[in-house]
Amino acid sequence: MPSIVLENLTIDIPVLSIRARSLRTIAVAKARAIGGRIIDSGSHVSVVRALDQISFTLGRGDRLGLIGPNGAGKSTLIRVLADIYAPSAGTIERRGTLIPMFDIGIGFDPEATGYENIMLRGMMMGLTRREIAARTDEIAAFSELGEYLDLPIRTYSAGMTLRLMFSIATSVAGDIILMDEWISVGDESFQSKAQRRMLEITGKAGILVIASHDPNTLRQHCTLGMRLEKGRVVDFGPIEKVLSRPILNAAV
Amino acid sequence: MASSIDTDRALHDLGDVFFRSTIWSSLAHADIRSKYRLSTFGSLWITLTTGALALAIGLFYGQFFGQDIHSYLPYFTASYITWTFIASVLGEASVTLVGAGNLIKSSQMPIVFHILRMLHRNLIIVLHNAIVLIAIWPFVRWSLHPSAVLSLAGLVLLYLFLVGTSAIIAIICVRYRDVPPLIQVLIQFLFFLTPIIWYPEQLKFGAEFLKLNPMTYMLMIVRDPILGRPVEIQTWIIAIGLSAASLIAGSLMYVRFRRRIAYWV
Repeated sequence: MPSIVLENLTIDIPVLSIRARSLRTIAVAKARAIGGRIIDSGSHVSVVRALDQISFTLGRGDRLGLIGPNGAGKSTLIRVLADIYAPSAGTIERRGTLIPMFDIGIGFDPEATGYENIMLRGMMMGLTRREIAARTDEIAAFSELGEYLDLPIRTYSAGMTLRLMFSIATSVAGDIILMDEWISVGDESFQSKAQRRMLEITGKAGILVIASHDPNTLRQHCTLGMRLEKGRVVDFGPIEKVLSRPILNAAV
Repeated sequence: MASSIDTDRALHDLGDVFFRSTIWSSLAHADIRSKYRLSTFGSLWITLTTGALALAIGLFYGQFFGQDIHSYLPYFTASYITWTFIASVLGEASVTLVGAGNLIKSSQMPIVFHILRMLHRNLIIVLHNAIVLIAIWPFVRWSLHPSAVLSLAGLVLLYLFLVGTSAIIAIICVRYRDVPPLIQVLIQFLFFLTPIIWYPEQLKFGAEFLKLNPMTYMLMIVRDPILGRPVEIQTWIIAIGLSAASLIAGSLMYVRFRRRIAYWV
């Protein structure tokens, strides 16, 4: 059974200035230290606290919508849940298999054919050739791209490319979907098909976490809402309530 | 700072290097394919480029070292192929993680795979270049001994040495952006200090200094057996030691800094 438990999770992202990244700075700092007087510490590492003491628990069937202005920490939280950023403090405990659905277009080669890209993208998701080959037919069928899959994807329309990306991303078996903005795919008929697949995955007692700016999307897909501001949780509860409560950004 | 979860994760990545090796090797093949797509000669261009250079230098430079073509051409070709492998791996190691930044921040693929992908891509290039050496043999016919197969063992050792070294360089370079140009300087520097275009036995002084250069050993174990040049057992021992040391150091660094890399890219 999938679950996500965060306790006092904090993420500090170092902002390395040009100074901090250069060797000269360190050398100069060392030299000064040897001289006995440290004029300049040389380590201009400032830190952005992207997430500050976040705690929550998600269980089966929970669909969480993350709300908040740009820079509130929504995308960072999605990446923490995907194990990309390791917590600076606090803990994250996750049970279940991930279906990451953000940045699903990274790693595609425009000159390669649709089939080659299925292989390429699959490997970047950590699948072996055999594992990908086993699901290629299903991906091809779902994408409805047919013979286009033998052509370089540079010849595809934007909608077609997105259909392929979506089909690959949702081909993995998993029960936790992570999304950064809802992906609306292709024409109307494909969109409802994509929607059905998403519901199918989340419906099977899965968890969905989605960051979005669109209240309608969130109302439609989420049960829970969380408002983030400057890396802090300012509101958490049923989605309808979180969306309707006035934004408390007087403190910001 | 690194908790046990992070250590486990890093060790798991390192395990996947073996268990899921088809991923990074296939990605490397895809890179080569993608680079030479739509070209008639395809990846044979790698071979042709090296062949042209080997001929140009090998045919004329021998006279500066008092050697005739028959011995200098294969010597230079084998040297050049091996050195190109070392130099491109070290050079690319310094930019490989920075270049893969988007992927690191968006996918679950073990970060170490990016390093191995780069390394494997260069191995494919070396194997293409080795064709040049085979192609010139009928014209020069240096004596091939059975011990020539030791070159393959040498290549495996060099590969392992470069795995560790690349991991160290890649991790340092993603944190300190002054290091990549420094690596370039170092590669240039080593090119002249390593017996690539000249013969080690021609050194009148500084032979002791040559022994301090790890690249000398790593180069000799690959190049010398196939040319029928004797390789001292001591050279092999040092090369094995260097490979082991670099693998251990590279793994330790990876385990220690794995969690930080996503923050640095």
